[in-house]
Amino acid sequence: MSSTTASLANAPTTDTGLNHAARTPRAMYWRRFRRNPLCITGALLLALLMFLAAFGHLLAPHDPILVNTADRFIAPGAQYFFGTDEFGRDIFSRILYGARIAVQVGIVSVVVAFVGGIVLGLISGYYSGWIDTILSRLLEIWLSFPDILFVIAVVAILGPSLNNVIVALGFLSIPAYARIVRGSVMSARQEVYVEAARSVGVSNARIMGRHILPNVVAPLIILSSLRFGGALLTGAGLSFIGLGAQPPEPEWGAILSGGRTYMYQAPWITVFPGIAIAVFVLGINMLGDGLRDVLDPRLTR
Amino acid sequence: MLVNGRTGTRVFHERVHRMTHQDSIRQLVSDLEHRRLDRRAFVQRAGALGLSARATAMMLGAMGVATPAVAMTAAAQEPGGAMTRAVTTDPETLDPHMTSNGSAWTVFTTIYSSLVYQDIDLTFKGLLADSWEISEDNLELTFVLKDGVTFHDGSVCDAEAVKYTFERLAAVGAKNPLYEMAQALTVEVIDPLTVKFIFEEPNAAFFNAISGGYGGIFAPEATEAAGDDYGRQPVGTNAFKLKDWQTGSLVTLESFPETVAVEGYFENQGAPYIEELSFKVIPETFAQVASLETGEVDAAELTATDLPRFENNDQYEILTSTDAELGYLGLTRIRPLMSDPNVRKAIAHAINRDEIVNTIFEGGLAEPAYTPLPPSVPGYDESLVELSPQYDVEAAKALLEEAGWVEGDDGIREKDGERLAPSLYTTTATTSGQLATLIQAQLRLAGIEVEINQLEVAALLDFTPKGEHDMLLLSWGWSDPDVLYLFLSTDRMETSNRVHYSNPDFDALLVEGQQTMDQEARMAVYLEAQKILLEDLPWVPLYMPITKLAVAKRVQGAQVFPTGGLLLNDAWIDD
Repeated sequence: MSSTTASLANAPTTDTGLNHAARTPRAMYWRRFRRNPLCITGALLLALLMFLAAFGHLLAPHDPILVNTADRFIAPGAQYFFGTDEFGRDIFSRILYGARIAVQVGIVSVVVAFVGGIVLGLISGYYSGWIDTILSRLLEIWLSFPDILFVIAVVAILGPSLNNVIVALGFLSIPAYARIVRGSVMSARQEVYVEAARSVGVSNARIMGRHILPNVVAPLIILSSLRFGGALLTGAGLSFIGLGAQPPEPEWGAILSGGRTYMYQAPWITVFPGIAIAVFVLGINMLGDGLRDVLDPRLTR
Repeated sequence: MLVNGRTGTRVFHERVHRMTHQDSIRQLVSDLEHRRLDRRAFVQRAGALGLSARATAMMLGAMGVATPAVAMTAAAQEPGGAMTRAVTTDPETLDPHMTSNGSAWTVFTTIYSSLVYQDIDLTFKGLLADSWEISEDNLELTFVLKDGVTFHDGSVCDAEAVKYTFERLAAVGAKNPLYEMAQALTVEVIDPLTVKFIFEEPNAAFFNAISGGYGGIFAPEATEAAGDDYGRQPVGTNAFKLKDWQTGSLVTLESFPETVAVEGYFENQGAPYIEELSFKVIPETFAQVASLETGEVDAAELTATDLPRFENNDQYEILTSTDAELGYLGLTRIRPLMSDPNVRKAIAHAINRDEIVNTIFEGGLAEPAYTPLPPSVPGYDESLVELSPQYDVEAAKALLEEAGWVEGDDGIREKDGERLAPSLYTTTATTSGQLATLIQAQLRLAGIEVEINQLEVAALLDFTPKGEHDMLLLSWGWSDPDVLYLFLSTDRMETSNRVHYSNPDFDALLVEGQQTMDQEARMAVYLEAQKILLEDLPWVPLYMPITKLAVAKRVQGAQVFPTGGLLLNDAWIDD
């Protein structure tokens, strides 16, 4: 089905005569995107997250890691919007700085998975035969590890740090990408235009890159947005149990974890990073779901 | 703001109190002399005045007070009922020879008894042993055992069992703190109730070492029959025996009526009133306290933040003990960054212990520690406090300048292009993370950038022998000065000497300390040893924890030993 989508995207823009220029695939997707509330809400939240990641440090009123034990456990108010933690650090500033970490975790892990998945998927799908058999079995073994366990194992080997968590999250997602790419490639391989390209002597690498790869972009975008949210959540989870961000990094999961002890006394330490995680993960997932609706070829008719 | 103001004030007052209200202490002593107080009330009031457990015990000893630990109404002590205590981790094994896990200790000390126990005045009394004799050269120690003591499985606790226990310990007990000690002695059975220990060298730390759960006596047949599964089928002689164990969630013990009770602690010399004692595994301290409030558990250690809520709540009794424990910052001298004495001294100067105690322990669950042996451990000497580098950031900066570390653009010091950025390793426990964060902020003010690494406890303990950590944030608990041997001697380099410290002069003093039987002379040896440590600074002493165990009112008559450990033989359930 994704090949249909892509061939539409690939097809020359023609005027059918029945409609106006608005019927070009790009315009059609855009219109559907605009009309989809999931997409719009999700996209706005993602944009906000990106904005905070880029400019949060300019907006932060305090140093996120500065310990000031004279100002411990101050409730949210004018001086500290989200209150302060057990070390007198400003929760608001920490959450702003944390947005950058969250985006880093999401983007880098998705890029690692994207690149790794495409390479493995293309090779596996295009060549088929024994290469495909070996790679597919390998990916199945890889997929059989429970997500969180896989990441914990990688972190246990490499040592606890945010970078290692990001790498682990990226590797975790590679099989999911590879399988989608492989499937798409296998069906696209049968298409007439691929056969045509091959018949005029175009190299394998060029066929894969120029003619097959564009077919798989749509499902990968959907997958990426979902994985982005997942990575953010798992990263926060690992920092929560002390295996991700190391003190004093203002990672959301770590802030939340640090506030647990003070739930009665200073609930704002846990509440605000909790809200941040929930809202942005929800937003990204909404965008993912929305994109799937928009890009789904079954809706083109 | 309010919270901080309150705790800050409280600590300040306590200090003033201690320094100027000598009168209160005199009054207390006088009350005791005239027997206006029983021992328990005295211990509580002494604690309120900030006297250390050791000081309290010495005063009691000096007054010759030997009344039972509690004087309580004999009413309502109905046998029966169950109580549950929260513990942080699964015990993993209940074989004391195979573990040094704190939760395991909490459980197995209620299962095993040792030959002797340490009374509240810190002297040693017989438990499974009836009496003993020490030879003139201090190399032979002969115990006569109590007659008719049986293990949980019905077998007899005799001289063979004692011999078996110590031989097994010497063979397999590498994780047990008594391991080296057991290897340096021979045990001979004289007759079924007489057993002789023959030492290679005199050992002054022996009684203390064997007096707790780690020195528990095993039943030979049951141990051999269980083989590798023994850790899950422990057999001892103490008041409770294992009934059921759901890994990772609950350990249930039932009372063992034929037990030998500890005379000095309890009025009740018979079977415990409580029929079932459970330990519920709740990893989060926050969740432990919540379980206490819902009544799911009856006893849990309080965290600093919960303390005020419980202290003003008559539904709970708070049992306080000053742990014979030290939280320290280890500085690994074999690491290039830590090899310079000036750098180590600068770090010690940059540490603000009052801020640590007031912030992380809310002023109530720890006292600052300045000496390698804190006040709760014998061998503590007040004169050492002033030898310990005090909080002084300017002094720290001057020392670093002198050592050639100059401030870079971002405020972090550099030397020959290298940043002063030592690694600090600690556990994933909440308190460890908080301590690390605060120490990181404190050292930052002197221009030192600390890189924090948190590892699971087991992973951390396996990691330290590699010597790849610049700093280590950890704590230990042990009530004899021989603890310095355990953690800082060259002999222990591959195991528990986690900071890779080695100093022949210090090692020689440790051996002397082990072999000096006269207590006063022995403490003088440890005074010298600590002077060396405060010069070399393998540890920067940080704090001495205070444990506050909250016990729900339905459990009556529970006690804790001044230096930790729940005592339950007099406790009963009042539902």
